[in-house]
Amino acid sequence: MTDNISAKVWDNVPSPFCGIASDDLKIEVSGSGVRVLANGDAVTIPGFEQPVTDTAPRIAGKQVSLDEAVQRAAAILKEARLPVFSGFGTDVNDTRAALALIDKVGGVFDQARAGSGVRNLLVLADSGWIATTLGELKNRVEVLLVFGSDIEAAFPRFFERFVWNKETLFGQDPAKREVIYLGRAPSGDAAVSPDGRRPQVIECAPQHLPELAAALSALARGASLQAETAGGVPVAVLEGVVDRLKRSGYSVVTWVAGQLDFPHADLTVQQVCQAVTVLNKETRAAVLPLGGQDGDRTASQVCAWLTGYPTRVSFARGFPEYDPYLNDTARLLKEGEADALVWVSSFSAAAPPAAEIPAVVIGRSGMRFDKEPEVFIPVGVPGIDHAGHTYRCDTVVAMPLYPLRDCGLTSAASVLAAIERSL
Amino acid sequence: MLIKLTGGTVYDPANGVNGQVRNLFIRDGRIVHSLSGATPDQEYDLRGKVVMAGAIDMHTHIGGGKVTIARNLLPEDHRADPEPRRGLMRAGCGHAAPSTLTTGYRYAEMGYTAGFEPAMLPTNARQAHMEMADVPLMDVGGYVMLGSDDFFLRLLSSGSDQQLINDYVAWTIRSTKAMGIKVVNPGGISAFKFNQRMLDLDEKHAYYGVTPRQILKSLARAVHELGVPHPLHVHGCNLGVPGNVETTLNTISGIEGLPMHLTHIQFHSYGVEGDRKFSSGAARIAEAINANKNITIDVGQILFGQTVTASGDSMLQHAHAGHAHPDKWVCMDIECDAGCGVVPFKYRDKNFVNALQWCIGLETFLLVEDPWRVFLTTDHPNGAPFTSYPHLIRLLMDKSFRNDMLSTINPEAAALSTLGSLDREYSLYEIAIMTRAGAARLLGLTDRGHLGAGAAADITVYTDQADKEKMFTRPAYVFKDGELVVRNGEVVKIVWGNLHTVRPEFDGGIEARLRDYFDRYHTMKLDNFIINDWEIEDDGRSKILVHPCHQGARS
Amino acid sequence: MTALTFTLKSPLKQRLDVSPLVPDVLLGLTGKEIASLPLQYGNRQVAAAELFDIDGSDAESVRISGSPKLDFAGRAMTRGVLTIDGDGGAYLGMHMKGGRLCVSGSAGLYAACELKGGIVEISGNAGDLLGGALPGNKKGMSEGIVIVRGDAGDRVGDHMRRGSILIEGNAGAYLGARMTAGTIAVRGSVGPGAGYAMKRGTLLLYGSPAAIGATFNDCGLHTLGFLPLLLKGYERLDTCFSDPQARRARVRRLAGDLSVQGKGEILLVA
Repeated sequence: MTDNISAKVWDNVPSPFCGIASDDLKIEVSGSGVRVLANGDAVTIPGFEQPVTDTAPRIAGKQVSLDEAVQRAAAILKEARLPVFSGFGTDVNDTRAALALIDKVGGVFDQARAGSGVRNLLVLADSGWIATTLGELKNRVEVLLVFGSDIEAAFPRFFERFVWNKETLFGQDPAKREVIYLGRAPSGDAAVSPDGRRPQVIECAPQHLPELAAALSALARGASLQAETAGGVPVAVLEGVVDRLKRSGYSVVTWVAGQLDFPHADLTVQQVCQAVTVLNKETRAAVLPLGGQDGDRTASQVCAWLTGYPTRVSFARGFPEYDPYLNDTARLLKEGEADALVWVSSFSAAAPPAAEIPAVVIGRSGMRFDKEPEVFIPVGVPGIDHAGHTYRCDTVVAMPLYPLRDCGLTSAASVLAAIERSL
Repeated sequence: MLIKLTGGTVYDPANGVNGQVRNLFIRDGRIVHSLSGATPDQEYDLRGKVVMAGAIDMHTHIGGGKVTIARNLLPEDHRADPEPRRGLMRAGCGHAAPSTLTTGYRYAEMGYTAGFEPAMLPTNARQAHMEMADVPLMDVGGYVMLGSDDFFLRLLSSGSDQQLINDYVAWTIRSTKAMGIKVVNPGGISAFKFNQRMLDLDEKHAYYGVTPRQILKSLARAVHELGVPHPLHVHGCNLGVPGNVETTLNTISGIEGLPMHLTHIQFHSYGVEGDRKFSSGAARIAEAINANKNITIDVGQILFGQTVTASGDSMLQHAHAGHAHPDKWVCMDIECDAGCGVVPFKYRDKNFVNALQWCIGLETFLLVEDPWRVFLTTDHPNGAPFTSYPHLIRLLMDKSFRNDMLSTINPEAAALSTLGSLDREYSLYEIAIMTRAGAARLLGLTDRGHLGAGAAADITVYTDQADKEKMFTRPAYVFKDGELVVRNGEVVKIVWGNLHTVRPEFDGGIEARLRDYFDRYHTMKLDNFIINDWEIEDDGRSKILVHPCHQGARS
Repeated sequence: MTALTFTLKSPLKQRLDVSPLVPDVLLGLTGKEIASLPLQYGNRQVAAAELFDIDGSDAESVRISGSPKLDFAGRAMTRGVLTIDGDGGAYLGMHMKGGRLCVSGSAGLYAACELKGGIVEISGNAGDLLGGALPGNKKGMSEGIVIVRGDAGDRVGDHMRRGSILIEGNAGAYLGARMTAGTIAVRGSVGPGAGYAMKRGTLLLYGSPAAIGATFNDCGLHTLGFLPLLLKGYERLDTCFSDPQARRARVRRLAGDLSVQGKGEILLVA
């Protein structure tokens, strides 16, 4: 990243918002205002341009000093018998600081998007997978199979950056790549190739995705099915898909776990992954689970190395315990088990879930609440206000984030550390 | 702070001290000749105790993507070994792929004060550093992986000048804050992406047309010419494949006298003799190592039980995935840079192959004559978790214990092994060489691994016991940079270690070439790839220590 | 002697781990020791007597007043009887090896999780993942019998290895998902995805299932010799599957799940 001081324009800025960690943004900063001048999209532009409104902490809506807010938060946590910490649209250091505090107060660590991530993580822990990364995709993919997902709705620049790139390392013409949408149609034209070819789209009703995945997996293994259709899709069409993947030297199968929003979707994801594993007996293929927005991969990575488990970890017993079902914030709030909520969100200004219990919000400036939390401490954004690191979807690349402005906002990590010291 | 350690029996091979009673003096974290008449702030009576430098694990997978994949793969392993918050120590979990905090506590409790991550992928180096930064009480460092990355393979296959390759190697070491270069299944990780399933030493990569032999020579030469103290760290071809002893012997001869470190050589020492077409190649390997002074090895001993194998070798991990226990595993192709494979595994003492692997590792330890050129590793966690080191030390130091264990393993394997006839028992001095002095020398750590004046006061004090496993499990004291961090095997203070690096010189011209390459083919900008000092040091915990290279002195 | 009875003094706020309240632990303890048994409640440990009124003396027969937040009831028990008067929470009967665990109400998530023996009887409904394996584990229930008088949730018998689950009511989606052996019988209706990714084992369905997936092949109607023997084994259990009439049934046999090269079977009772 380079700094053009006179104009306060920054080049090659990494985005902490988009999940694919685009790092070619051009950003203009004047005062506390931020504008994306180039390479922004529907996710990154609002992410960067969210205005700074509050800079002072509040207790029950009343402006207080940072120290008073920290003391109040510590008092809440000292009393709590099951404080739940969630949100975690934030960077590595904030997550580290939170886990230190959670360990000390015997709380639960969850992440706002963990429900989606768990669909993948349960598969990883049950059978594993053969995976790939964005760089391999960009240089190698011949056939891209998108399962049950509309990529561009969540990752507007995915195709531009990694599929329709201009050149590849191995002399392949990216424009000749094939894209197959299985189970869901794309919402736009991002998957249309530069020469105007539209992706093959094989749609089915959402409730049939599990059956479709199972059929794909069975056909990849060479099973012969009596059924003529699977999830409403002719088996012959699915056989064509499997055949195309088998003939490809390097295919990539991807999905957006957040969009496979039905109970026990991990079973479906597992079938997709196992189909890919089987393909590797003869040729090469790999999965690429998309995600990484709002810190979801960052949270699961940091939590995994610090606790051994990816997310939804409770320290109530004094050591980390993983429970992807019971340690779900929404459930803990609904059942009245959590007696304090700490919401940490430096990327997104979206409000935390309304709760009847004392809430401490360490959040992005500009956050609006239906119900004012007991404590609100506005903090800066890693990648705008201070340095940091964020993981992109493939969990391989942790992108450095740089400070672009200084409007006096502290970091969530320093707030969390101060609370820990005040206990 | 002045500390006196009084009357301990000192084993300090770097300074030729073999079991002499000595006083040691520490001033502000460093060992000094004397306190110049000053009264020590603290004095420890070490009469009857054994004193060594803090132990150094020169090959242990403690940080980076594949370790965290292993963590995510094995929640059941973690559930069985919870580590509650106690005293100064935060909660975590242990066994095969422990959480970072627990890793540091448990290493320190065994008297280790440094560990080196041997498979840091360039594009994942940032993660490796972030994880290692969360390993308390230990110094850390990493060897960055090259040899299957497309930039290097393009240089090599296009016949680039060695100088250009040297520049790229130096740039990579500096940009990723590494201590050395690792090569894993040379070219094979890339070949697997082109659907090759094996790549022997002289087999051509399907796309680039280069062979592992060429890759090894080019990288070994680069490391040598750059003056990087640690020789090329080689995980060779054909890991785990019966008959790979021939490949390994050819690798040794093929390097033509250049310094080379062959890692976890146990996994590369398999013959094909006998009814089961699986036999020990340890004797031939040891003979070659004894004869070739340019070669160093670490063993990668296996010990029986459940563990997880985490490797950059996606090709062979995929090939061996059928042996996964439990039946789940991960392989990854990574960023036109490298790959990884994570396969849980249970070594069984009654299984012929596993029992023979156990013998092969121990035979290697006992047949390699020079303890300065063989290092004590289990390739944590691949052969066994690092917590089994005290057991391994006892196997090496105690022949009757070793033979007792030998009598319990698969009898067919035991009968085929020469282990029972090997009388050698390692001495404390030799253990101190393998786990301290030799490791420091191999890595170019001039102020670690010894107890001479000027050394960092990383010191471990053991209570001498006949049962060496017990002795090495719970040191009486461990000092890290002069701070008492462990007493009687319990952590009493948390400090954070340093990051060891080297910074070889390179011609800046390589960067322009790389910048263009990143812009065209990579998914991040070159400037965002390079790891900055602030990323390591800004939180005030770790310091970057830079060790000198001796460029030009060797070419 | 009357059953050793634990009656909750007030409704639970957080989840409570009652795993120590089993005959194996309680036998031989004095009243005082029992009263002071530490129980994990939220992030605190609380003495049993603070939460429960404790009466009775027969520790071979333990009763606990129910709550849907009462977790790990009967964990790893090997003997005696544990009765939950009312509802149980999650992980009821987890790792249980012997004895009998009865719930007069309903059980939550993961009842009979990785059960290794004994009998678990749930008079009401069971939550999801009945008899299943914890995340990462490949082995769910491996022995023993589970009876559900009411309905069971989704994913009954996930990774099940052996033993029997008898459901007198309905079952949810993904019945027998990823099971590798054992038998699950359902009297009522069954949700979608029955047998999803099952490798071996038997689903015996009396009610009409939602459509069976495309990865099961129809092997036609049969009179299977082993079925009467299987059902005879359930005779003493006093369930609807004990009816001698049921043993003569003809079944339609579906084989799968072909997505995992499975050799499991779904038997639809004609």
